[in-house]
Amino acid sequence: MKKVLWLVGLLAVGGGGYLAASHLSGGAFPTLGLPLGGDLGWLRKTTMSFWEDIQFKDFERAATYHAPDKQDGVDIPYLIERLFGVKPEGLDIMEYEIVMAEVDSTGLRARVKTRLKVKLLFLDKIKSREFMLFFHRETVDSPWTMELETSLRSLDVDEDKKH
Amino acid sequence: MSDAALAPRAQARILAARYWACTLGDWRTVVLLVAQAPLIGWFCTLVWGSIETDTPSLYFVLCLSAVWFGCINACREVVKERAVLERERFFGLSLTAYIASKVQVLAVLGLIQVLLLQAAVEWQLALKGAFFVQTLALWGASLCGTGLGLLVSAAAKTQERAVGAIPLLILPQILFSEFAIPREQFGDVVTWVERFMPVRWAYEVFTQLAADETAWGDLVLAFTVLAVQALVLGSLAVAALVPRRET
Repeated sequence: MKKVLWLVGLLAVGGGGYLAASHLSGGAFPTLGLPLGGDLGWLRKTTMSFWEDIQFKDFERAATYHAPDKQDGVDIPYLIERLFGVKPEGLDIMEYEIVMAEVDSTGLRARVKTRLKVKLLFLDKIKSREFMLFFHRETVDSPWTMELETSLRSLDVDEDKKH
Repeated sequence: MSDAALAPRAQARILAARYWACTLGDWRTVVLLVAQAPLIGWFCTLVWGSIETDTPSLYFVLCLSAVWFGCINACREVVKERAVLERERFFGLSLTAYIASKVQVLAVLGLIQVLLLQAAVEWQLALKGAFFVQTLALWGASLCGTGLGLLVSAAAKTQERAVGAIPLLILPQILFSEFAIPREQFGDVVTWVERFMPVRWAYEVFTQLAADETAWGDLVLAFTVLAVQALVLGSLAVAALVPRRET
């Protein structure tokens, strides 16, 4: 009986410690479906969900992470083609994971670094790439929205400036 | 020698229970040993967090840390109770059971350390590759370190000498690695010696997991070598205890 109690106690302490670590780290460890991790946890979960949409070529849903007024103007297939050099149908996203997530001092801007392992189907090549996704919100109580174009689009050259 | 000596397996069980009681009785030392793991992990995040990505050098530091943990956990554990060991040998104590009991407890301690080390790093920076496969590699490295530590402890005459020998076990792990000079520039001797370094094989697991295309054969080979090395080092520790010593 004493051994069982010890075991139960150890499991309770271990489980509690794990969940506390999961919350305090902002969801860096799997939260087992629990709403843990605060803002960072939400950002991690949203980012994973975003890449899953891209993985399954659900570009319409992937655009919904953007601010509502800008969703229609976002051409994700085009952005992906520019980034990877292949059309979306030639791209297989095999794995994706969060490298790090960070909210700035104002609590209004955030960035999430993700690592993707992709297969370029027509070239039969596997490549790893890292991407930074940027989020922002108007106030600390507003919902986060992804700045999709800032995140995915390579910078356009500003012809008026020297390079 | 007593005719009523227990079978080695039963001896190992009893010795492990005693060793657990002694280890947990000295809980301050346990806390100190366990706490160094997340601390080193946190140091790693300070360094690699500034570039926001993992690199091969981080993998190497983690593997080296795991070997270090194993060595430092084990290096005093035989020599500090050599007098008790020699006395109990007169009553049929099995040396294999004795070392197995040490490994049993130190393996658990090592596993906790590598999990905390990894968790401290993953807290800030996700490493490429599967977490638990990496845990297994670090644990393998830690077990090899434990074997090295027990070997030193079995051979040393005093605790001070055992602890003093640890740099001789750790520094070659760095010297005979591609972090000293590029692998292409290794001489024949260096190439040969490097194969005996546990850090090299644990590091191989990390690099394979981080590669775009994992060479599964190399991954299995690395795990096999780590397991064999841990077993051989444990056996050498038993062999080192065979000559009786006056205490």
